[in-house]
This record gives sequence, C-alpha cells and structure tokens, in this order.
Amino acid sequence: MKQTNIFGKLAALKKAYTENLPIKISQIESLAIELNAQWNLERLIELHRLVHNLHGSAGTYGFNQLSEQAEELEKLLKNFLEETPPEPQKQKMQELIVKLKDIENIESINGAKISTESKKSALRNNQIFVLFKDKGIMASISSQLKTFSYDVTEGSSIEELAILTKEKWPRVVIVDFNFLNPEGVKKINEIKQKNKDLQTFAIFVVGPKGNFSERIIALRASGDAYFTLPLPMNEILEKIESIEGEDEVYTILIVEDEPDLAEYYATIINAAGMKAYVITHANQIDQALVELKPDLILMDIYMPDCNGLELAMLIRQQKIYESLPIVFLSSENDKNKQLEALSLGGDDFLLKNIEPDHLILALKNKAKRYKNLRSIITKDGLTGVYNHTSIQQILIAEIKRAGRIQMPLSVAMVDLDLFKRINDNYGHLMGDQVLKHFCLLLRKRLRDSDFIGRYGGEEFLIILPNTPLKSAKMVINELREKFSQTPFSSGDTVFHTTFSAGVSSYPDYQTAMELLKAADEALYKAKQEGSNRVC
Amino acid sequence: MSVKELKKIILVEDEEDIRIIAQIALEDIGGFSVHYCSSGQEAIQDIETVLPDLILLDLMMPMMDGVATLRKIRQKKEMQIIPAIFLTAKTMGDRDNFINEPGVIGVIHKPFEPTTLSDDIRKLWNKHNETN
Repeated sequence: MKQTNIFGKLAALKKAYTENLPIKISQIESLAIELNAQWNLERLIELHRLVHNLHGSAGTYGFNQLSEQAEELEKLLKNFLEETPPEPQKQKMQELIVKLKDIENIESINGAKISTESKKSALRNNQIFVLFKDKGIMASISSQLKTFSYDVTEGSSIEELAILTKEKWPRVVIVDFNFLNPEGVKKINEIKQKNKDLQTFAIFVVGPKGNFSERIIALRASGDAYFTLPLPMNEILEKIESIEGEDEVYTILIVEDEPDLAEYYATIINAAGMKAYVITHANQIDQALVELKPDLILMDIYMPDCNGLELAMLIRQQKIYESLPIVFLSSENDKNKQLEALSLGGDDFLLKNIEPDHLILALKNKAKRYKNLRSIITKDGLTGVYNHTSIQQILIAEIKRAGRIQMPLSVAMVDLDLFKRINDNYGHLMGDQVLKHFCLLLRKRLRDSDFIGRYGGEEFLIILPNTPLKSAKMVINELREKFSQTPFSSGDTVFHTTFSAGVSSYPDYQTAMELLKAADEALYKAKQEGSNRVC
Repeated sequence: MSVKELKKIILVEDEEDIRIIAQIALEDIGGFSVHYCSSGQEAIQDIETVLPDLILLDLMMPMMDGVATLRKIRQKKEMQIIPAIFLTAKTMGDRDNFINEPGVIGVIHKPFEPTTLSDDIRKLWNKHNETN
C-alpha cells in the first residue's frame, strides 16, 4: 500500500475538484433558473442528475456539508419528478440552491476535509445501538447521544439487534437489563461470533437496581459497563469516549532522502496501524513539525544536504521538541559512532536492515510514551483540553501558519454563564461535570484541526484554523444553542446552562495578543448584552 | 473452506469525478485490477473480454441505468454467476427493488469514503462467498 503516494494523489484530485466546484454549482443554478422560466420534464431530469452527482462526489471529496445540502435538494427534486410541484415548492428549490452556493463558498474556503484526514474519523465508528423496552427512556437516551453527533439506532429486542447488525455495525450497544435472559445473551454472543472480523462492540447494560446479582449477570453477558436509572449521561458519554480512545494512532515522521527506502518504511509503519509521513529534505523539517505534529521522528543519519545528527540537534534547540523521540537509521556499524549519535539527542539507533517487526516495536512504545507524556504536560487534567500555556503557544504557531498558507484564522473566547452559581447550588463536583461535558461537546462538534484550550476556570479559548469570521461565529453559535439545550441532572433536579462567546479573526488582527484582546472585548460585549450569545 | 480471491473488478460509473477517485481507492489502496466503463453500453461491450470477478456499478446513469445494464449483461449465461454491487446515493432507499436483482451481493452508499471503499467491497465479497 503506497500510502505516501496516495495522500499526494488524493490531495491533487481534491484540489482539482475544488477548483471545478463553482462551475458545477453555477450549472445547477442556471438550469434551475431555466426550469423556473419554463418547467419541463427533460430539464428537471437533467437537474436531478446534476444534483445527484454533486451529492455523491462532494461527500467523497470531503465536502460533507455540501453533500448533505445536495442530498436535501435531491430528495426534493425526486419528488418533483413524480408530480409537478406547486409554486411554494419551486420557491423551496430556489432557496435550497442559494444555500448550496453559500455552503460551497464556506467549505471551499475552509478547505473541506481531505479524505486522508477524515480517515481518522472513519476509523472512529460513531454508530450506537440502543435497545430498550421503555420507549420513553430509549428516546431520551437517543436524543442526548445525537446531541453529541453519534448515529443512534433504536431497537426493542435482541432479535432486532441481529437484524440491525446485518446492515450497520455498532461501536457500543446500550441494552436494557431485561433483555439479558439466557437466550438474549446467547444471541449476542452469536452475533459477535458471526462477525469476528469486525471490531467487537462494547455493551453497556442499564439495570434498575444495580445490586450484585444484576451486575454479575451483566458481566457474564460480556457487559463492559453497568449503569442504573436515572441514567448518568455524562458518565455514559465519557465511557464511550474512553472506548474510542483505545484506538490511538501515532504519527511518525520519516526523514529519508532515498525514496524507495522511505516508501518501504512508510509501508511497514502504515501496515502496523500508525501514520507515516515522509520528507526527503532536512529543510522541510520546520513545516513538517508544525503541520504534522509527529509523535516520533525516524531519521536517516547520512543525507546529502544535512547530516542527521545536526538535524536532531537543530530540532532539540526548540524547547517544545526537547523530548520528541528521534530514532536514527543507519548502515553504521561502528559502536562509537552510534553512541555519539545517542549522546547528541537521539533516542535509539537502528540499523537499516532491521526486521520490520523489530522496527515497529522500537517505534510504537516510544511514540506511545511520548504522546502520553505530552498529554500530561500540555493538557488540562479535568477536561482533557489544552492547558493555558499550551493553547497560547498553539495560537502563536497557528497564526504563523495562517500567514504562510494565506488563510484566515478565527479565535473564540468562551465563558460559561453564571458558573459560580452552579458550583454554589449543585456543588463543585457537578460544576466539574458541566465543564467536562462542555469540552466533550466541543471535541465532538469541532474538527480534528481545531484546538480547544482551558484559558481560565470556566473560560475557554477555541482556535479555528482556515475559518473566516462569519463561519466561526456560525459554528460557535450552533454550539451555543446545542449546549443551552443540554440537560444536566443533579439528584432529582434537572438544570440547563449557557455560555457567551466573543470571536475575532486573523488577518483583521495580526498577532496573538491582538486577537485575544479583540475576542475578549467581544466576549465582554456579549455578557453586557445579556449573555448566552456570540459577539 | 478457501474463499475465492477478488482480483478484477469492472466499474461502471458515468461521473468522472467519482470514477477517478474510485480508481485510487480500488487500485492503489485496494490492490485490485480495475476496468472502467463510463456507461452501461460500454460495460455490455467490454464485459466478455474483461471477465471480471465482480461488477461494481452506479445505479443512476443517463440513458441506461444500473439495473438495465445488469439485466442486459445477465442475458449471457456465463455472466450470470458474476456477483454485482450497486453504488447508490442514500436517497434511493434500501427498500427499492434493485437489491433483489439476481447476483447483487450488496450496496455501497454514495458519497463513499475513498480510504475504506476497498475494505467495504472485500467485506461484501467475503460474506457472499461464505454463504455459498
């Protein structure tokens, strides 16, 4: 699998597609105008075909929102094919087309996710099955899960699970304890057995009493977690996230001038479930470090323009890369030279004829430990988002990057409204839960390329690269709405809470300080105007 | 029981953007050997010389759609055993009858994810071979 070439090819294809996209959209637009002027079946069929094609291709090239919008329009046009629509329906068509244009503009600027990036989310299965006797409870669980962008399928029996798994494969199955009679358990095991090649799903059991006998039954049914009613949604969501987190993918940067060798290592590394990126010249290192944020560097010692030892020292000069693992590759058999390499900043020294398995072992553990270490240093313990220092550093780096690639960047300062009141009324533990939940929502809703940091006690900084001001405000506002609708339960009480936010953009403001100041002022304005809003 | 290996696929897809990305997905990532046809008629002409292990075709195509194409192909006796997979937009609905056409072993929804397309096809292929 030539992963390195594939990413390049896909990127080139995507670029071409993005450039042609406006033409496709105006074709659709013109045809719709003609259709409105004179309604005839031929034109309608052609329009439907164009929109159908857009729906299919846009999604594949990473324009997910555009694809969804095209899907909506396609459904409408399909109905039109059956019978000529009345005026209001034709109006709707026009509206949808205008929306299509808008979304195309936004997504094109934002740089719709390259399919290579979204592989990470493809690996993350978002499907959850909920099997419950009580429809009310089931509906409540489903709607809360959907808030967090999970795909939820409901069912009312284990037999139904068997049918459902033929079409979709879940990551987690939340099941009513009442379904775990011996036949039910047997059926579940059958389903897992039949689909051995797929990653096994986790089972969360929900029972009424939570006593010992119930829990033993749940355990024997291979339950991975047990919850009692009323459901602690926060805990359930965390558990789901922690299961997903087990599929950690490490990023390895290969610095190797010989393309065949680079390809060879990349292939081995990719096959072992890690992501490999290759640079062939040492002078690409700065960009690679910022763009790819590798967990480990695999470096050839002898390269034409720069020797590996010097490069390692160069990397280590920057404080943030002090502990980044650097593994040397060489045909050098001289023990002294190897020791010298290690003393100058390498973490390990491997010979080029190394066995693939050995290579993977040498890399995986180092990358894992580094990633964990970096997490502890850069992340906020409670919420898992970046801490104050780190998010500021990230902002500085991202502004530089935005300048380099000539793209806008937005920053949102978010502050939970009346947070002190939550701590006072429901206790600090509940306050912590609210903070965790808030960050979970952000992580689920924002892109992998966005950054979230805890700036203060209940203040957060969100960095949105490749995002202009208008889009950023839209995104944050959507989050604001979703968050305001999230129910929190403390004992018997259910409460809701909100946040206010201020947004600013580069290049309107050129430095981190200016951006933060502007966002802060906007946040202040939001609070002054009544909170629960975005300015 | 050894499963017959999937090596050669004939892809019938009229939209060029989808076709090129499917090329990368199937050839580079999946390692399959792929023959492309941009219409139903082309597929009918080429299939006897290509003799693929699997037919992957778009459901909605101008002039001759996926179902009509498949039916025409199946008219020749040797073509009746080649399994087929439809590429279709989600809007088509799973209850439509095309899924019951002879030899159709599954459906892949558009938009598809290029990095997992080959895996999804292999899964359907393996499932089909197990039940036979």
